[in-house]
Amino acid sequence: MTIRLRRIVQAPKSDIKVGAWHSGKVPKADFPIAKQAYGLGNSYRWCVISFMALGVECKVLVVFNFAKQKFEAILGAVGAGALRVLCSYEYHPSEPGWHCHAACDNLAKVPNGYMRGPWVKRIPHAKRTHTRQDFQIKDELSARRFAFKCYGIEVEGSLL
Amino acid sequence: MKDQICRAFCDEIRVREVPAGLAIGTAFRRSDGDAIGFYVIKNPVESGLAHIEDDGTTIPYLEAAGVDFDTQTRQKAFATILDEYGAQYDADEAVIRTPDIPEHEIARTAIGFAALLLRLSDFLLLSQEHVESAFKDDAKKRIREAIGNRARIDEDTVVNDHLNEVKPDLVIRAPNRDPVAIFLAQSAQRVNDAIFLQMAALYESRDALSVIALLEGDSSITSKLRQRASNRLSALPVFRHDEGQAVQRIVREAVGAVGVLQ
Repeated sequence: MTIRLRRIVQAPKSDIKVGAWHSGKVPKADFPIAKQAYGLGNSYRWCVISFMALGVECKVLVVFNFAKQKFEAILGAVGAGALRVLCSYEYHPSEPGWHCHAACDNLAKVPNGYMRGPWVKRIPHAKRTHTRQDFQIKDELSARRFAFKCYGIEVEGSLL
Repeated sequence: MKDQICRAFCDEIRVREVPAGLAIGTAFRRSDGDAIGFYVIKNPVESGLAHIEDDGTTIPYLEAAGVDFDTQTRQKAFATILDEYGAQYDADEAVIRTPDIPEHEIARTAIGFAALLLRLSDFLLLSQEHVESAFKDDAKKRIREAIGNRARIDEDTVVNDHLNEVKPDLVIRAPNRDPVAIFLAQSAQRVNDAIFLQMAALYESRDALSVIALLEGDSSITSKLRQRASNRLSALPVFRHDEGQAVQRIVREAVGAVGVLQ
C-alpha cells in the first residue's frame, strides 16, 4: 500500500497523545528533526502530538510565538529512530498568508531526517493567491486546536 | 529605468504590525520559496532606539535542513558574516539581531540585515552533500533489492584495469552478460564521466560494457547534454517520480528481460 501525506491526513487516527507545552530547544527524543535538538529559542512555545495512522507512527510538532505571530505544525512519520518530515503548515507575517511545505511523494521516498529539500513543494506557490490570510491564533489552546484541524486529528475533550 | 528598478525592489516589501513590533517581508526568497523576513523592535525603555532581529528560526531551520554548524569552518564563516553586518547571535533565543540603533538608521540597516539573512540561507547549499547522499543511498538500495542475487554488485570500484580513469558508483556483473556501470548523476559532471567511460570502453579498451547514467531528476542536466548522453549511453533513466521504472530499466540492462520476468 502506498502511503502519502494526503492519505495520512485523511486516515482515522488512534493512540493520540498530546504532550505538554515547553519552551526552547526541542529534544531529539521528542521530535528527531535535526542532528541534535531542534534549537528553538526560549521565546518559542512548542508541544508534540503523536498518533498512529495507517499503521505509521506520526508526530506533529506545534510551534508558536505570539509576539512574532509565528506558527508551524510540522508533521513527520517515525521510522527506525528517525523522522520523515511530510508537511509543515505555517504562518509567518513576512508571507502573504498561510501555506505549507509538503512532501507529496510516497512516504518511503521521503528522505529521513531533513526538514526541507528538493522533494518538498510550497503550497500555494509563493506568487499565487493565499486564500487564508489572518493569523487568528491567540494562545496555546487555539494553536493546538489548529494543528488538530490541519492534520485531521479528532480528539476527545479531555485531551484538549 | 530607475523607477522600474525601485518598484521591483519595493513592490514586494510587506510590513505588518505584530505584538513584537513591525514584521517586514522582503522580495528575496529562500530556496524553499519563503520570503526573507525580519522584525523591527523598539527599545521599550529608551525612546528613539530600535533593533532588527530575525524570527529566531533561521539557524534552527538551517540545522534541521542538514547544515552542520559544528564544523570549525562553518562556525568561522557564520561569525564572519555576522561581523560583516554588525549583527550578533543570541544562542539562548536562537535569534540574530543588531544592536539598538537610532530609529532613523533602521531603514538603511534593514537592507544590510536582509542581505545577511540571504547570505545565511546560502548555507543550505552546503547541505547539498547530505541530499546527494540521500539520493545515492536510496537509488543504491533500490537497485540492490531489484537485482537480488542474480548478479554481483560492486560499489565505488573501477570496471577493470584498462578503464580506471573514472569510477562508476556501481558495477553490476551478471553471469554470461556484459558488465553494467551505473553513474548516479545529479550534475553534468557525472553524466560526462559516464559518456567518457562508455567511449573509452568502445574505442580504447574495446571492452564490452554498458554504461547507464541514472539522473536524479528531470532537470538535473541541460537538454543538450541529455541529447549527447542519450545518443551515447546504454540508457539515461530519470529516478525521481518514477523510481520503480527507472530501476527496472537498469535491471533489464544488467540481467536481461528474462531476468526481470523471473
